[in-house]
Amino acid sequence: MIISLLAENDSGSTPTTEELASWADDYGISTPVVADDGWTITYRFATGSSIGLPTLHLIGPGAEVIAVDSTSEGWYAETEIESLLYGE
Amino acid sequence: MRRHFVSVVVGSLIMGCEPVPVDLNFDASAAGGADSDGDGLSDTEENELGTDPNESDSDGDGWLDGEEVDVGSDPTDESDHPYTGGWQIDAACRDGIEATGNSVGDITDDTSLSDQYGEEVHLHDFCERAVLLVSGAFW
Repeated sequence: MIISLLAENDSGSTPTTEELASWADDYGISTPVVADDGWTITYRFATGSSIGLPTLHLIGPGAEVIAVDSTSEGWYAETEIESLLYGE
Repeated sequence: MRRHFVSVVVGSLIMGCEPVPVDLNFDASAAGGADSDGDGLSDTEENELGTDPNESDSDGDGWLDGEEVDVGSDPTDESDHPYTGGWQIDAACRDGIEATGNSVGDITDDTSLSDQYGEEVHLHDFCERAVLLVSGAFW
């Protein structure tokens, strides 16, 4: 499962439902697209005082944090992410 | 194809990136092999996945097998299909989780999130599987 977190719209506000739906439609995304109100989730996993975008965080079964902030060093290769997500 | 989908989701959040729609009409013949049922998977791929090469929707959930593979859902499981809101929650899993922190190895805090259908989902609702969170913004 991939969840897209969108913290701000073009005006710097929390995206509306319509904006989230438009984003999912524009990019053909058929997994959850959610508003990250106040950057709650994104900043939760920041490894420093700032965070690059876009960035990835990997949460395992049972909500265990496996890896945070893909803009930091030592992150998973895409094939490893695929394996974790789909068990391949 | 699954790698393609992850790349699209991540790419959609890169600033200045032009929209790259998911190719749900993937041409299986281009990847080699016939696609007898026209579901976007070659017969060879269907045999490997355990889907029916003569049935475009093997699990009968309303989604073509190729569509399901594109987005990472299981084309052999009727209950597992692309997200259309109303996430099926395993309450036993969710309620059995106790957050311990937000560093690697911890059980992360639960958070309420509003999705593209206007529905509230919680991070712990997805506790039965691995989840890739892709953080970004419109700008």
